[in-house]
Amino acid sequence: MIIIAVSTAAFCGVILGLFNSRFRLVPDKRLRLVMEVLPGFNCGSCGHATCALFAEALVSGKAEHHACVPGGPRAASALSEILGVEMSKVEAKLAVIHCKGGKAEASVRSVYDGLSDCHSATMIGNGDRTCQDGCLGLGTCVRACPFGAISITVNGVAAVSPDLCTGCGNCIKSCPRGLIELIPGIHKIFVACGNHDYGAHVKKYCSVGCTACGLCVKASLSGAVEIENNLPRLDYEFGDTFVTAAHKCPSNCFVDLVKARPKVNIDTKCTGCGECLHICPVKGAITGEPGERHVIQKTMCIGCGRCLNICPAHAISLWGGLGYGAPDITRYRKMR
Amino acid sequence: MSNLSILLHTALVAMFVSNLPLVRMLGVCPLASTFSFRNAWIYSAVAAFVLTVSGTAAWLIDALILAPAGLEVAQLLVFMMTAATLVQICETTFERFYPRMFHAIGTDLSLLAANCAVAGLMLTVTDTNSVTGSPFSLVEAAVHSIFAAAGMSLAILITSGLRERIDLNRLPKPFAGLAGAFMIAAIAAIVFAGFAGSPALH
Repeated sequence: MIIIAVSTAAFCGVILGLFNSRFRLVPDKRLRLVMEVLPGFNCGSCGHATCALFAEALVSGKAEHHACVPGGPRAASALSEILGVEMSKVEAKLAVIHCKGGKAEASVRSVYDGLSDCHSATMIGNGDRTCQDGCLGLGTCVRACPFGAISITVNGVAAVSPDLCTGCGNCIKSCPRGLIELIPGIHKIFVACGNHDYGAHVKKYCSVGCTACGLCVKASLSGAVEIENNLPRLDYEFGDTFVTAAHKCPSNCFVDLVKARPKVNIDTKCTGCGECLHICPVKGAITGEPGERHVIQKTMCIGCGRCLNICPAHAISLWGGLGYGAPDITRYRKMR
Repeated sequence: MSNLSILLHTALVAMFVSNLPLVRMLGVCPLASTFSFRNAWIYSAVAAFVLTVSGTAAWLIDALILAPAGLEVAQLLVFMMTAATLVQICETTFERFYPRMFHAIGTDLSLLAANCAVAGLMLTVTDTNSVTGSPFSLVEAAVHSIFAAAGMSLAILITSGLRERIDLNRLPKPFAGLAGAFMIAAIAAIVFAGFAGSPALH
């Protein structure tokens, strides 16, 4: 028995050895290094099914070194070093959900007691919410996110945690209502409404729905906001911060993920010319008589920064940092 | 019975009456470890390939080497080693000549090499054929292997499809995951037991 076992094993070993020496591929040495750099989530945002396939494409020169979205700039710089190519600029992306109308804000027209899946709910009478474009809150995007960045809040609406989101975009296809979009990661402000209905209709069933009043268009001087099909569209390429537009929205349907914006301060160089008084979008945030030093009401300043460049005496500066740290996505900050 | 009807009977027995995972309880782990229908397609294709190749190879090894040498006692030992070798050779071949296919099925292939379904099938095709009452011929062994593989794929696809449907529901905690998968497999096994029929009817 022992002889049989040993001889069979030896025979199989020899055959395998011969076969491998003849046919086995010798992997590229850089492949192991590349695999160490890649995050290994197999999210598919680079266009390849798995990280291993992407690594092979990278080594064989068929993929760009900055294609890995979750890896971000760090992975891109490491990969460019391994592959010996010049690093190019990487822009971080952030997924946002264009709805914040939960149970408290948006009305419900029926009871849905089916599968807890948004696609199922859409097939049965287009869901239980009165709003035909709003978040259903059944968590299909939560299951689609490989990073656990999306959660359903106690209010019954999906919210993305900007710290965990890598911008891979897997959630975009999962939403049957197309509410999820990728925005440039440095911008933390977006319109949290996807309703194309007329304003008077929206007001009836959602307290935070966009009525397409156009105040945000007037508020952004650069023209970066446009009303399109009854919804404002923010053009992030313009360089606008959208702080003013978000503040001016009467239905409070903008979301600012920054906890607190810095406030401006007027120092002793102020000549009292009054330029800042005219450009300030918040009435009463800057007070002062002509010819005297003006004063900022710190509780009212929204930190839009418009007065910074208008001041001829360069007396205005921003004080305080951005409120970095995990924002409370279960309850968005009130804009006004 | 004519030759063709013997083959047909062998095929039906292999696929339904003595279905590998659901009736003979060989190779149940794929039923528990495939979570989605899409994964199940890949896994069942791999399982079908490995079972077909190893079942036929087992008959050849037994008839050409072991039986003439009188070494039937070492069947299981030799079969397991040859199955592992064959699977490894297939994997290397895929990697070399069909890289896309290799990336789709690569890890599953080597996992299946030591599956009990493979061992069970190899021992079955070197035993007597329950349809004819005499040992398997090469053609019968090949047909049995192919349809046993098809039966295994069928079982994996059925259970994974059911599982995908059930996972969308709000399940009580004790029934979620693996426990639920085994319950689904058990209910499917009861269905497959029906194919054998009641002994009283014979």
